[in-house]
Amino acid sequence: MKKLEAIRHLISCWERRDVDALLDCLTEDVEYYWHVGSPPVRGKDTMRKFLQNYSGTYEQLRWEIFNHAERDNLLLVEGHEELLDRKHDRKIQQPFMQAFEFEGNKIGRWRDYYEPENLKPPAAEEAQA
Amino acid sequence: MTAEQTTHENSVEATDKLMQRMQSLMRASMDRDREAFLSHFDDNVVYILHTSVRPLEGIEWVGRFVDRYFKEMTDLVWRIDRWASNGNKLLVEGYEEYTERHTGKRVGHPYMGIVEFNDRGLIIAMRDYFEMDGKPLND
Repeated sequence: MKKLEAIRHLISCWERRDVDALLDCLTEDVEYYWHVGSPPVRGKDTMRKFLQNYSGTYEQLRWEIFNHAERDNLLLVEGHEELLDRKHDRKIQQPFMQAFEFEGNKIGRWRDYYEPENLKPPAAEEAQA
Repeated sequence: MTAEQTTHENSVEATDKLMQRMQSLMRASMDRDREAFLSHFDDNVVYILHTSVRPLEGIEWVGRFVDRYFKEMTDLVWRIDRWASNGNKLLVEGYEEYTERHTGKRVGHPYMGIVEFNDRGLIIAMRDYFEMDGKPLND
């Protein structure tokens, strides 16, 4: 499977909220940097918990890839996601880039790059919460 | 544009060629050579240096940006750790770190970026993705 197809498969698993199928796209000792600079999520069990927590906070409405390039075991992508912030009932538009490093057909390392500030609720709403 | 429309696997040589242009741009930046830096851009370049700020449109605007950048940022680290290309697009993952001259604050930006070149090897579009309020990675 080509790397971009593997990511499209991962996205389709997530769109079905099929966590087992999504985890099957990852190596056992996967490292996921949801924020580069913070400790990564390590291993499938921790990844499952992360996804549970994430789903409680956000509903991912769209996850699109516009551009990609690959070299050796590396796939780099540019895209856009739309999230629903469940607590504040607001939609978030989030442009992003991602780096995936493959081991065979599975993702061994995954790093997300975006502006975390976009995820924060507006200050006035937060003060009232 | 969908990913399917852009699918095109570049040869190692094609990727190296784009990467050499990028490394030349980085050298000009490290040398604080304004003229050399701007010579890498098409006159009509659009540079989105961060997703939350207005795009810099045109080489004059990029020139004003780089004047401020050279003046305000000291002890610059700018590296590309990983890269790949697709057609005329170079996608990179790297790290930038600098000290803000007026505050003395050290800033770190793990980043990814996409650089689009035209047929003359000039940058026509560039977009960077990072956390604006980033901390140096060794903190």
